[in-house]
Amino acid sequence: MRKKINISDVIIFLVVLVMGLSCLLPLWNVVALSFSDSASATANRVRFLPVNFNLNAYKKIMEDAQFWKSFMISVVRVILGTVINMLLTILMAYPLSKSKKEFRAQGIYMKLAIFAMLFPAGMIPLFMVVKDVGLMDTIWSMIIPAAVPIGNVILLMNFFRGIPKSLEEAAEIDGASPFQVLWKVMLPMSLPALATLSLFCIVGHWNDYFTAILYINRTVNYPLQTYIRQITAAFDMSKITNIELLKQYLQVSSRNLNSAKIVVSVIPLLLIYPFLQKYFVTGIVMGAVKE
Amino acid sequence: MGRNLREKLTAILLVTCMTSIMLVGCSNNDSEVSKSAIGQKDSTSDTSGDSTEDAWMLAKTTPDAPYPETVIYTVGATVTSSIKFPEGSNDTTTDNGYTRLYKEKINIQNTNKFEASDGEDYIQKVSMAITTGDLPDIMRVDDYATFKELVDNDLIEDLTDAYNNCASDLMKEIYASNNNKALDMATVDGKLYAIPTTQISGGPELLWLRGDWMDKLGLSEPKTLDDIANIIQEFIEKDPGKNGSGKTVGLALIPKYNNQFLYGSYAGGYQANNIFTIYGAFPKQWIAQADGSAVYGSVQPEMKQGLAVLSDWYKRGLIDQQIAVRTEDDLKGLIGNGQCGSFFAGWWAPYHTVSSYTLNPDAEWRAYAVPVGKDGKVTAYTNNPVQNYFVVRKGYEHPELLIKGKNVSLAYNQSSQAFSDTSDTVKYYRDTVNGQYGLDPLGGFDYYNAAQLSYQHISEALEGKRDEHDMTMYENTLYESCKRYQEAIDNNQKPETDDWLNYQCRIAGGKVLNDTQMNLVDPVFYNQTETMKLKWATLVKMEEETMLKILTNQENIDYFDKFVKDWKAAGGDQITQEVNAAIAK
Repeated sequence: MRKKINISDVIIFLVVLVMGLSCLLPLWNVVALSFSDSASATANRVRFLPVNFNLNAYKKIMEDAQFWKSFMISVVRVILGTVINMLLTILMAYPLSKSKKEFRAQGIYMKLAIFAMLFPAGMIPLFMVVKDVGLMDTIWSMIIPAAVPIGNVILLMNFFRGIPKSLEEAAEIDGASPFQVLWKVMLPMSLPALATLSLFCIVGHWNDYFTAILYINRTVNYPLQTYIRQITAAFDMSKITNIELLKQYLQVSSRNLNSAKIVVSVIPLLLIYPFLQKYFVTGIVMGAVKE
Repeated sequence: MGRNLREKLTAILLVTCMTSIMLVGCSNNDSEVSKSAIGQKDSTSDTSGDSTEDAWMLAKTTPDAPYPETVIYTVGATVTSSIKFPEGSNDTTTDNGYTRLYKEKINIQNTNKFEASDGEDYIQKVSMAITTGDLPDIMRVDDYATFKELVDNDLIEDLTDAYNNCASDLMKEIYASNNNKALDMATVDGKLYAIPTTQISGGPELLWLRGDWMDKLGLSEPKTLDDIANIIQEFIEKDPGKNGSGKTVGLALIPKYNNQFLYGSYAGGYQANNIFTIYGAFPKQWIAQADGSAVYGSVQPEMKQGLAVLSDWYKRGLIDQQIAVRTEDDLKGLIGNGQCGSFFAGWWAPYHTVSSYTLNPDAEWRAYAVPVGKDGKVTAYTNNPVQNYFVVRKGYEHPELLIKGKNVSLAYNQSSQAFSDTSDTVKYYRDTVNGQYGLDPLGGFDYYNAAQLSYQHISEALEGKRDEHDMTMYENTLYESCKRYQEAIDNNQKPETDDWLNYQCRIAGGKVLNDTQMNLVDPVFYNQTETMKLKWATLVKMEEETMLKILTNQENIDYFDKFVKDWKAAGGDQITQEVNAAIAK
């Protein structure tokens, strides 16, 4: 049965189209900038097609050792961080998904976790802890302080609760241990949720630049987004009165080069989306129950 | 039913979660660091044996005697964003051309306690170091308030004796080039607590005009405000750049954007300072009046006159009509694209006009120090004499190391010693470092009139009146570049962009700066008072919004009087009192 197209469909389509374009066009402009020559990029001549097409910016990136070093650090961070995040999230969410009858202290743990989420310690105490336990300047400083994302735990916990109890019971009757129930029954049924949460972790780790500014003391150890941020950050023009600063300014104001760096840094995320897409189509809530 | 609810809850949580992630992401940017300082002294390590005691003593008390053993110091280092080490070298951030020179000359070696790029990131690192009480032996502090806080909490060393013993003649000479004002600002209660980095005088902003447009329209050099208005009007109406009618914008000014405003900076860009100073108004500066008391320039009646000119120009279309939404990149774009032919900026403006030259070789920019008053001079206020403060951690056993290190940097960067010294390290320094990558753990500073000096040295060398090595290392590279520019012009070739840039800045811009007669007014206060900490940001916001409203004709010029009243009531009067009290001290 075909539905007639009515006015609200058109409006929805237009709204979504505008929203989609407003996300896509700035990115496309950056792509166009990255393939243009420096002068045209500075002169605002580039809209959606490259002007004086060339690959100089990308050639320069290829030669930029620190860019690739930071790139690798980011990759390692994403892999380590996501694995640890997901592992801890699962291990915490499953017991918490049990009712108070099965797990008496459930409420206390839950309240503690939510309390910590709502009232975080703040930057300075966190900084001092990280420093005193010797995490400064290591990749772990970007992973361990945020190893258990409570928001994700709550999401997954609720998802587990949505899975019919009878499935678990069936497994238990067949003699499965709690671990086996988790790995063999619960997780395979939670793939949409796991995919979503993994993506949160991946994107979060990949895009985070601020943690490294705080905890990393060597610029050679910066992850990619921190590295990119410092080359594209706005420059205070009123401070330009000496030569060093001017040179620096010239470097950072090369718009086509900076655009190219942004494009390269976005590619890995773009590559991940298609692989996780099939889980999103069903959606985190939709895939939960089949009874 | 119950399940349905659960699903909804999950969905809501999901949304909440995503929103909160976004919020957290935003708040991180401006999260403030409380700067409560906690003193925490490291115990000083033992000094070495007595056989070399004389050598240690000599090192401690003279400008250039090396230490008998390598002294290690930790430093909070600023590094430039993309470091490019010389090709084929094994240099690192702590072993490179800069550090090896220090090592060879006075036997010191740095380890970096932290590194960050200049600006916000570095400031963040410094405030973290102060908060946790874990200071490096030497670090840079960017503002007076933090410096003062370190002094008040007894966290940094008194450098008075070290300076008296170890400062080289060159260092003293450079400080003297601005009447030792920088040293005065680093002195608290008669004691010197920092080695300040001097500010180079950028001179007043110059009016940069498209010379090729002026020639096309037969316009003569501007002198007065009316001349300027006339030129801009001709640019817009006669459209010499062939942009199509209405596409050429007038005078480019920067609105509130990234700590910049259309006035108040030192040799900044897209400024309107000159239009205020001609009337004796000194926006955003604390200026002494005839009776000696200090007043804030932006709220003086003279401001109103300058503001009246700007709002009139705006009405006539002589000022970029979209001023309120422009960013620096936008303005650079307009200039590069040949849509804008007039703006005020320091001698470095060619860095912003270079793309117009690349895209259109006919583009020619001329700099004028205008408008001039009845005496034929342009009026300007002078800079804050200090850029930043280098301080030594309390309890560090070699406080003089900072000064000795600076001596080395100055000797090789601000004199011709880089050419007379023939050691391999110096050669490497000259060939590779020479301002090419910024990893200097200590760094130097420059003469107050460095821009004028470099113009003099370079132009004299170009005319054959000065040996090309009788100048600093950096001036020499500029000289080489300017020479290439001249040769290319003589041979009717198009000069390289770099050479064009250096020539335009150093010779074209530098000449105007050097030859201009100026009335200079020294502001009397650059620091922060107690009430300023609480109220200054609000007052600044109030000021900038008012100025923009009047400029863009949203408010009548008389709105200025109301602003002055509000400003005084909202804390301005109290701050003025505090400033006067601070000066009297």
